[in-house]
Amino acid sequence: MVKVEHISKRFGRVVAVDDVSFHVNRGEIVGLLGPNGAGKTTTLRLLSGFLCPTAGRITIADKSVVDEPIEARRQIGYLPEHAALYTDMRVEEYLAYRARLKGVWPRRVRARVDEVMELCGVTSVRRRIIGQLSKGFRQRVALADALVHEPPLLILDEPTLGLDPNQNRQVRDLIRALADRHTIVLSSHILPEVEQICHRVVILHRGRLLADGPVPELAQRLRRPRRLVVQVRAPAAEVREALSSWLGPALGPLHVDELSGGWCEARFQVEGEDDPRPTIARQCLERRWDLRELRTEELSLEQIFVALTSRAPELA
Amino acid sequence: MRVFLTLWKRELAATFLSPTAGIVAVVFLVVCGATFWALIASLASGPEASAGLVEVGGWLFVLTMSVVAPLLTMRLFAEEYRSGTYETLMTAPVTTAAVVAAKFFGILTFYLALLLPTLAYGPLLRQCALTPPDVDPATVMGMYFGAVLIGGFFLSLGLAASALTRSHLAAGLTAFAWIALFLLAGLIPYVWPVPGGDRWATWLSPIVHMADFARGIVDSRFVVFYLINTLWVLFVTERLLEFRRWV
Repeated sequence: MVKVEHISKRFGRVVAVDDVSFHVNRGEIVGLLGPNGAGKTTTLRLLSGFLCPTAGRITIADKSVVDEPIEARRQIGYLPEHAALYTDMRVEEYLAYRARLKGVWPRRVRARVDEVMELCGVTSVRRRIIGQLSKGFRQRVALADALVHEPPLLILDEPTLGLDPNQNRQVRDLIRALADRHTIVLSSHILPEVEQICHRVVILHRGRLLADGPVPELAQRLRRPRRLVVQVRAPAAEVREALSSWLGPALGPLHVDELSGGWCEARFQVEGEDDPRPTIARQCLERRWDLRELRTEELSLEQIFVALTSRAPELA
Repeated sequence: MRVFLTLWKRELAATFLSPTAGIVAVVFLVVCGATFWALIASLASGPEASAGLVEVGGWLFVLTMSVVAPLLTMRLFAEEYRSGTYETLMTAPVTTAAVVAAKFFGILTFYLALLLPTLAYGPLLRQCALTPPDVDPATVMGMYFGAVLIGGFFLSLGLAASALTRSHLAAGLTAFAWIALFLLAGLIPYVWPVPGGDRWATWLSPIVHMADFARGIVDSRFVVFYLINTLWVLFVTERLLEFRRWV
């Protein structure tokens, strides 16, 4: 459905996207993941034809976005990063305008607008002026706009950005429901979000492609080494010694802090596939140490990218 | 064509809803009304008092348009850039040429709508005058024809300026500067006499053109001059927008 071959995009001296290649098969949901400034938005703008690449080639359903822009854009429903809409229009008026603009058959416009409003949950605000809507509703109107001409490919730039947790979940559910009929490329800087929605993830960092693969596989690789946090009521020296004897060579760099009330907190890395948490819990019980916290620490995206940049060849 | 009509309707609606356009419409009509009143007043005091009145009218119209055109056009692209809707617009299956044409004809239609109430002046005069005036239809048609041609050209300059920046103010000032330069170019030969300068001035000065049109003289050279320049500016605007995709 989407073929991206060695694309680069420069803005003056700044290289926003640097020799990125990937493909998206029909029916797939692919997540573009990366920290701010990684080149996600630029990549999606290149895919949508809003920008032209400095080098490389992009085809959407075998149509080049540079040579056949109109044909390529007919295949795309695009949701830009900040859901930019005409704030002086009413919801249904706006969607009808967009439907006509995107070539929906005039007699179909009304029915199609009703369908997407229903699908995106904006029927209740159909007569409202867009400028008066909440951010969540605007995002859904923008999504309805992206869907109105029944495009085979949806390109969604940060679809849940700035939404509250409830709206966030609604939009995620909606995207999942859309996957039956559309190929979806979406961007996000939130790893769990991409994990929940996408089949495959493409990771960008400073404009370069770092990794491209199925979510479970990458998530597995990204999670190593595991970081653990343990809080027990015991002297720090004893905790240090106990942990090294329980975990042996699997124990990575260890940091123990004394807390108030005789508690101490140990933070450490564990190599290998095995989860050491059951062992630790059992041993604490045997030693009659009070245990009040035992958890794996999720790596922040920033830490993941530090790990990825240093191990890029292995993952790519 | 369907895409163009959809875009054109949207542009027209947006213009009619914009407060700036409302204010501009009021100012424009007040200036037109005042000019008409001055014309009648001076004609009433004898034909000799009205000598050079056509030139003064031409000046007034061109000066008004040099302010009205930037005010009407400054938001056309700048607002879309600022609010981000430009991205939404240009990722729909529409050509850049259709967008430029729709924006231009949208604002031109609004401008024509502004001229419409002035058509009432003739019948009004007929109603009020003791002896109905003898109006030469050629001069009336020539005047409107000139107003549309010159106005259209100024609007295209405004549209091009708006495509350059996301700031309304910068777009308006740029358009005003371009129009002012064009007006001044027609005055150069008077300030700095050069051989054949008079012909230059005739060629470049919209005031001379407007005065000619107002006398009922439709010189095809001026018609071609404005049509080609308007098309040329619209073409440059389209290229400019295409260029933005590449840099």
